[in-house]
Amino acid sequence: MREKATYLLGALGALVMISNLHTIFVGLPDDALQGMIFRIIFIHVPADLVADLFFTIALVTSVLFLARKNFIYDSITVACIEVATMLILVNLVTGSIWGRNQWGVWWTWDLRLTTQLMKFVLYMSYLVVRPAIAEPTQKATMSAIIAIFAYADVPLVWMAIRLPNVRTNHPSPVLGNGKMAAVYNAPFGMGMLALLLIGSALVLLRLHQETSQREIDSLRRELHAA
Amino acid sequence: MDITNLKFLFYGYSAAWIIITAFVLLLVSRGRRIDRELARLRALVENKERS
Repeated sequence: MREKATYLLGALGALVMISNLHTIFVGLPDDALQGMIFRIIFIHVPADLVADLFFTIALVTSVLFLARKNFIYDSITVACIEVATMLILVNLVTGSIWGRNQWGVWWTWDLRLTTQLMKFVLYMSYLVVRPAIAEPTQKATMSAIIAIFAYADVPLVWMAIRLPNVRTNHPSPVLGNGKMAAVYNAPFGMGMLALLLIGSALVLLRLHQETSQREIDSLRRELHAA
Repeated sequence: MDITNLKFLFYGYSAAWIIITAFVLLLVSRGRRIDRELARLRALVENKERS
């Protein structure tokens, strides 16, 4: 049942994504300043917003694990962080390609870009450190602490283009303030929905694997004890 | 039509789909490995319980 729901979510996400791609590439006019490259916003921004949602879930489940010591929270945390880190990579790579076209450089040590790269590195450190700890409780506790610490960067990225007196190359916020043309709202929303559905399917798939991995660890202990 | 713009747009969407597809393939391959290992260990435990 859970497996079917996972595949259904993934297939639905892929369908929404394909139908939205048609709207983005065929139905929308080019941007007056950027030309057609502006269309990268429909994957670049949703990838970050969906990743931040999963990072927030991971923050909550990390706190819950430390409070209740229930391993299901640890499993949800690792599943969310793994998928969200992949989405941050999508965000960084698409942003870099956009930057090369619009700024003439692949990368610049701008506050927004640097804090976003920090986010990717911090969560990668979570994924690298985790398998290095063998004892399950210690692994989950250490992972939860790193996940809580890493989340400190999420509001920093958000503030990086909103703080006064900060010079940044990154475009200023366009969501929720009327700066984005109304015709772009629907494809942007559909892009969000598509990545949310695909991301949720991947989180569920990863969660199932983590549950199976725990069973494997428990069976191994049982065999060694016998 | 600005061809440079189109080229970079193509790079952007291709890169995004390559990353997502590679991640899905990684998950599927890891899932298969986990399922095989689980089946092997279950069989081992079952055999041990019988003997």
